[in-house]
Formats: sequence, structure tokens, C-alpha cells
Amino acid sequence: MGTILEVSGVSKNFNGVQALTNLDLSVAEGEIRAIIGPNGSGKTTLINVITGIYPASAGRIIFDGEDITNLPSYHRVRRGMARTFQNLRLFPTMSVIDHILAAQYIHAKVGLFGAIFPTTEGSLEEAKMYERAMEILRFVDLADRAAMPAVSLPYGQRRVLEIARALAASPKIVFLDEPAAGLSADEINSLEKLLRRIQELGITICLVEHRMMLVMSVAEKITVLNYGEKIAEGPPEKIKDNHEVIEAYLGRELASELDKSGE
Amino acid sequence: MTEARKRELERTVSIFIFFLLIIAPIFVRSQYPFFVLCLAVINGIAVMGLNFIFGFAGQLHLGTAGFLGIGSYAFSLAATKYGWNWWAAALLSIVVVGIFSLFLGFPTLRLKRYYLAIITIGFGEITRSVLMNWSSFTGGVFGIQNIPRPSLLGLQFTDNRVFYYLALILSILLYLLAIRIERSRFGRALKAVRDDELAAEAIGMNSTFLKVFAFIWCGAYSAVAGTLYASFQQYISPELYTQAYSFSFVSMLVFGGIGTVPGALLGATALTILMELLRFMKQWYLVMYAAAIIVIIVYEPYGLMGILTRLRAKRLAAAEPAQGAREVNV
Repeated sequence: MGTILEVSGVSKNFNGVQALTNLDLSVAEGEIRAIIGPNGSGKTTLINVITGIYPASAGRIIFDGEDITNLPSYHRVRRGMARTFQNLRLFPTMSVIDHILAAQYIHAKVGLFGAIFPTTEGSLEEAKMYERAMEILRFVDLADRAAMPAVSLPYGQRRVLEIARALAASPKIVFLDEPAAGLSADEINSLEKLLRRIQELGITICLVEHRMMLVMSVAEKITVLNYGEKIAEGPPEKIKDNHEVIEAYLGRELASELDKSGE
Repeated sequence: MTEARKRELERTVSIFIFFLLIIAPIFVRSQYPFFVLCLAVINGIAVMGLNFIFGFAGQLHLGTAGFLGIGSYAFSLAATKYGWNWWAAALLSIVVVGIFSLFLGFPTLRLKRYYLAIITIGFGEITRSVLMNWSSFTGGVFGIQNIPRPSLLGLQFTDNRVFYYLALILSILLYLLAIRIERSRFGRALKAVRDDELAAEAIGMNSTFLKVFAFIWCGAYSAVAGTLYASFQQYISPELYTQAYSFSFVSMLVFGGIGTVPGALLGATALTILMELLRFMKQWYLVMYAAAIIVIIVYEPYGLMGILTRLRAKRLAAAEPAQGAREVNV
């Protein structure tokens, strides 16, 4: 398996506030990677810089063999990046299926004329987009909600819809920003299954998450951030026992007490 | 309500409006009410145009009168001073306003939020001043006279009634075009940008391009409205294209139902006619006019279309309780 995403020496500075410092991150194709860290450690900023919501202040981002550091976000999506947001960002006036149809916008081949006037290729493409939209909704188990307004879905399903919308953009890698936030234990279980099924499609997953149970069971490798710097990286069992990580979460005193009691 | 139900309602409303507009001339005999009717159709075209940028793309545009003015003048100058064929002059008007919207839209629409509103207010004022003061080219305060009516396949549209039906046919065609655009992937993309620009870019949409795209359609529709207005009146002058006129287009769209094509049509037709019906109130008519707009908007932010949607949803809920209970919850 090759490397699909290579972040090297990336920094982000917001008017003097250093959110990310000289960060390296390398994600293998097809893996599930979790990025964790205490609040304010720069996890979401990292995703925003990688997906192009903010430009990086320094460093380089190589995606699928191409330097994308200076591309606008929509061009990065066209090259195979998709994401969800920590605070849900659905389209309030649109139905469930319209979200999925809208996300296929960039992959449509029929031009302006064919899309607007009743041409054969235009209506064929619309039918194909609809077909694929239903397929994606079945994949995430939302098919029976297709015609409903997205805002009328219960919270857990709205989270799932955001993932479905990201999948509809046909990504190679998908960034999920706290997909389990606010979900019940049952819902987290089915989210975990969904993540594995997405992986089976050959899509790389990059997950920012606070729910450690989910992270530990689903991630193959974990990257830990603190104050915008990478403090640890490795498989879940290693991270669990890493002294620096425990310190970052619990503070120095508690961490050393925990170490003593462990001995 | 589901998408299919909404489309059904939209079709019913638009067929109803066009039916009324088709039969209206039978009941209107005198000159002035007929002028109002024609104005309603022309305003409808301009408001459908405004709906692209304000309704679908969510960008407040306060310079519709400026667009209309440039459209009217481009057409009229070509058709009178330079003796162009009517249809060629109309086409020129669309191209000219389209270019203006491209150059105005591109730098402005790269920014988010309310910048377009501010820029277009300025643009409207500048347009009016230029039309007023560049006398050698535009005729200044005296305007342009003897603007021709069109002819097609030997058919002359000098008769007001025939001209009215020409405008109405154009309006129906532009309505169908707007509906096609709304339901294409471009329409969906515009609504995505309106709903959440960041999320739209996160699924690969170039929001600047899409907003400029909507703005150019708005310009093209405004140019058609401006051309029809000039040709119908056969006389134009700069004082028509005021800021108040721009605002009235915005109120028409909001009154009828922002973001829907039949709403644009409904608002333009209803308010143009209401304005004239209230004239008997003398100095109170503008107050009543404003009050009517405020009442509707406070009661229902999506205007007349919103009210109709609600009524329809209630009806459906009563007819099919199990299905309906889920649908009302819009």
C-alpha cells in the first residue's frame, strides 16, 4: 500500500496564534487513521488546512502524488478529498436525496446546454445520478428517508447523511470530524460498522474523534496532537500506554500518579 | 411537503397565473389598465431574473433597475440611432447586460455575505447618473423617442394587444427556462451555495463561479425586461430607473415567495396590480402597499408561495393522516 497523503512541515498561524507547528503526517492508502488530542490541540485546524478551508502558513501537502498545498478547496475535492464537519453543515432547504444529488455535481459530464435543455444525454445523466444517489442512501441505510427534508431527520441520521454526502463526491480519502459526537452507544456501534464498510470500498478514512472506545477499536494507527504539535503516533495499543499522551489529557500530576499506581 | 408535491403546487400556481394573464385583456378595455397588465408581465420577467441571484444563490442584489436601464438603453440606442433590426438589438441588449453582470459580479461575488448589495446600490446610482449626463450618447434627460416595435415573419406588433401577447409568450418561455435551470444540477448547486457556502465548497463546488453564473442569468432576464419595456412604451428616460424601482423588485420577490420561480411571477403580478388598485387612496396608497408587504412577510417568510404551501400541506395531512403527519413537519 502506498502513501495517499503526505503532510510535511505544515504550520498554521492565526494572527500570531500558533495553531499547528511543523506537523508531519503520512497516511497510507486504505487505512483508518484517527487523529486525537485534547480540546484546542489543532485537530480540526489540521483537517481544515488539509482540505483547503484555510491555507497553510508553511509546509507542503502531497495528495495522491500531487502537490495540492496551494489549491482552493473545491479543486482538492475534485482530486478526491471529501469531509464532514464537526458542527453539522447540511443544506437546510434541501431534501435528503438532493444532498446526495448535489454532491455528484462535480462528476457530471454533460455541459450547461445538455443539463438545462431536455436532451437525451442530460436526462440519462440525471437518471444515473438519481440511481447512484439511491445506491448511496441504501449503503448508509437512509433510503426510506430520501424524499424528506434533511432538517426533519433525527440528529444521528443527520450525522450519517453528512457522511453519505461526502461519499457521493466519490472521494479517495474522507475526513470525518467527530462523527460520533452526540451519538448514542447504539448509533456509535452502527457508525463503526459503517466506517468498516467504507474502508472495504477502498476509501481511506481520517477520523478526528473524542470517543476513545470507537477510536481504539476502529483505528489502525493513531496520531496524537497537543498544542498544535504531534506528540505521539502508532497503533492503538501503543498509544494507550504512552506516557506523554496520558499527560496531555490528564495533566502532569495525575499522569505521574497513574504511572506510579501502574507500577 | 415532499419535492414531488412542491412541484405539483408550483405547476398549478404558474398555470393559474398564466391563464389569468392570457384571458385578462378580454376584460380590460381602456388604455391605462392595459399598460399596468403589460407592466406586470415585464416585471415578472425581471423578478424571475432577480430570483436567480437573490432566490437561488442567496445574494441580495439591489441594482435591478440599473440592469434594466442598461438593457433598455442598449436596445433602444441600437434600434434607433444605429438602425439595427429589432431582434438583433434585443440580443445586443442581453449581451451588454450579461457583460456588465460578469464584470460587476466577478470581483464582488468572490466575497461572502452582503457585499453585492452595497456594490449594486452604487451601480444603480452610477448607471442613472451616466444615462442622465452623457447627453451626446444617451439623449440625457430627454431620453430616447420613437423606439420601434418588433416584427416577426411579416407580423407587426404595433398593436398593443399583439405586443402584450408577445411579451407573455416570452415570459412563459423564460419561466420554463428558469424551471429547467432550477431542476438541473446547476440549480441544485446554487441552492447548496445559498444554504451553506462552506459545505458546498466541501463537495467540490466553485461558489464564485456559481454565483457569477446566477448573476449573468439575472442580467440576461433584466435585459429582456428592459427591452420589452422600452419597446412597449416607445419612449424611455433616465428617471425611470431609480433605486426605488430596484427595491420594488426585491419586495415583489419576497412577497411572492423567494427561491421559487412561480413565487417570483406571483409576487410581480400581484404587487404591480395591487399598487395600481390602491391608487384611489391618494397619499395613503404607498402606506397600504407597504403594509400589505409587511403583513405577508411577517406572517410567512416565504411569501404567498409559503402560504399556499402551508395550506396545501394541511389539506394533504387531512386527506392522508399517516403519510401527511410526517410531511407537515417541514
